[in-house]
Amino acid sequence: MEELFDEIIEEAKSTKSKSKLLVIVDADPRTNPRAAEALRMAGGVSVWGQVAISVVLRDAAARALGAGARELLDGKMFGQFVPMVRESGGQVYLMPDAGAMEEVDTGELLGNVLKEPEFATLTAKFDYVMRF
Amino acid sequence: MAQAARKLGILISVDPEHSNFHRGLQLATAALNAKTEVYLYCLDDAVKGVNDDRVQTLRGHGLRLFACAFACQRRKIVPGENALYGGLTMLNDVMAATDRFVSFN
Repeated sequence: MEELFDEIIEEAKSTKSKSKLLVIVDADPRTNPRAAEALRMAGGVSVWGQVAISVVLRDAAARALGAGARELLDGKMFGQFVPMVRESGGQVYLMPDAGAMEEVDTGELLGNVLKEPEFATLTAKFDYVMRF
Repeated sequence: MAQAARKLGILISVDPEHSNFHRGLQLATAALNAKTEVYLYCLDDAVKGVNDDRVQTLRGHGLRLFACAFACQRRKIVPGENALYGGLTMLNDVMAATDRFVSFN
């Protein structure tokens, strides 16, 4: 019982002390290296476990989870840092435009796609929102 | 007993010519004037502004200045003594240890 109590206290402490940051990426990764830089930042910070980070890839930025992601600007970063966000407990959501929808892996579309109303609700749950 | 100063974290990732770089510095100025501790992390294109006179003037007024070493390396900027250069662990510390965090991208 004592162990359980300690666990609950530790969990409460860690949940309470963590800031929640949502990184919204809408830079086009075909032409703008900021999309990769945003994911590098999200992965590189979330791995320390002190800030809870989730990411929304909007419009063309959703191509970062497409079959040809490695060919995009700094494309190898997508394969490196998207898993890092997820392994740290964060979510990577998608709001692809029509073009990106055709590129994104089907598996990624299942359960990760947000619609505008859900996106609005989601942003309200975070302490900070950052847009790249 | 004196109260601990509030801490503000600022991330800037745009080029020093971008209006948001200037806005970030304006916020830092206002916060320093209000006796807030300000921690500024320059990421991506913002590392080009580390030696900017506006930034260094704020540093002289107490701004804690950090810059992304990776972004400098990619831009062939040689780190000097005008800022503390480091990785994303520093940005993590700025985010986690400040009372408020604001970004200018």
